[in-house]
Amino acid sequence: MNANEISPKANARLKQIMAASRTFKIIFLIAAIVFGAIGILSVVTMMWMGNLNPIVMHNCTLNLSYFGYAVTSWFAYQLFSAYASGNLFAPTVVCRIRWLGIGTVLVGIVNGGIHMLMLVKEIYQAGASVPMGLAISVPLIEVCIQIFFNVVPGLAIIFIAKVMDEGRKIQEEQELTV
Amino acid sequence: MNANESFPTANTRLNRIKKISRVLKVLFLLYFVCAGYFFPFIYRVPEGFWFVVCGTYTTFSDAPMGAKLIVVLAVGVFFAAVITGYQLLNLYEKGIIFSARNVQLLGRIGCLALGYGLLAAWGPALISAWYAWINSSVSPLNPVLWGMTAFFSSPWIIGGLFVVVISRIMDEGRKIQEEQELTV
Repeated sequence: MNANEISPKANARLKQIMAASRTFKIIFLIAAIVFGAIGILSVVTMMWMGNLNPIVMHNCTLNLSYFGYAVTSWFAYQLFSAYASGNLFAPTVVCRIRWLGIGTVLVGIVNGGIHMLMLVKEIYQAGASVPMGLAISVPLIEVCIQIFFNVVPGLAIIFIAKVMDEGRKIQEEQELTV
Repeated sequence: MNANESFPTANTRLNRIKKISRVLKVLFLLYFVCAGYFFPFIYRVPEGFWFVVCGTYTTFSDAPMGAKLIVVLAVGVFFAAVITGYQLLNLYEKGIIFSARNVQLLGRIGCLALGYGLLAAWGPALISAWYAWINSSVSPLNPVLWGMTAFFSSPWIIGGLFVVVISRIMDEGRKIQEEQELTV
C-alpha cells in the first residue's frame, strides 16, 4: 500500500508546487525570449555600427552574455514545465536540473572569458608603461574572482540535481513496495 | 521491507553526496568571501570616498540613517545566509538528505536570498525618494519603475524564489521517504 497516494494532504502540497511552478514557467519563458532578443539585437548592432563606434562595439560585446542568460532561462523553463505537470522526481527532471547547473557554470565561464578579453584589449590599446603581465595581473585576478563567483551557484545546482536523484530513487523504490 | 537500505548502490550514491558536500563547503566559504569583496551596499571608491547604498560620502558616518540601516540589514542577511548554508552542507555531509531540518534550512536560504535581493533592488530607490522628500524635489529614480526593473533583473530574487520552491519539493521527498520507512 502506497501511503503517499491516499494521503489527502499530499494532493494539496502537490497542487501548491504545481501552481508556483506554472508562474515560474511563464517568468522564465519571458526571460528567455527577452534575453535572446537583446542578444540578437546586440549582434545586429555590432555588425551594423560596431566598426564606426568603439563604445557601441564595447557595449554590444558585453551584451553577448545575454545569450547565455537566455539559454539558462530556457533550461529553467523546461524544469518548471515538468514541475507544473506534477513530475517532481522523474528522471527528466533530474536531467533538466543538471543541465541548468551546467548551463549556469558555462555562462559564468564564458562571461568571465569575454570580460577578460575586453580587459586585455583595453590595456593593450592604452599602451601600458609597465610590462603587460603586471598591467593585467590585478584586473585579471578580479575577473577570476568574478568567474568563480558566477560558477559556484551552477555547481550548487548540479549538487541539488544529485540530491533530487536520490529522491527519485527513493520514490521508485517506494512504488515497488507492496 | 525497506528496499532502499538493501541496495548496495544506495550507499555508493550517499557516499558520493557526502564527498561533494565536503568540497562544496570549502567552495561555499570562498564564495561568500568573494561576495563580500563585491558587496554592493558599501565599498571604497578609488578617490578615497565611501559608496553607501546609492551615494558617495567622505566617511560612513556621513551617510543618512536609512542608508546605514540598509547596510546593517544587508550584512545581517549575508552572514545569516553563510551560517545557514554551512549548517545545511554539514547535514548533507553526515548523510542526512531529506530531514525536516534540511527542508527548513533550504527554505531559510531561499528567503534570505530573496531578502538580500529586495534590499539591493529597493534600497537605492528608497534612499533617493527620501532625499527628494527632504529637499522637496523630484527623485531622479522613479521608485516604482526602478523597483520593478531591479526586481525582475535581480538574480538573488529569482534565485531565492527558486530555492524556496526546491525546498517545498524536498519536503515532498522527505514525506515520501518517511512513508517508505513506515512500509512493512
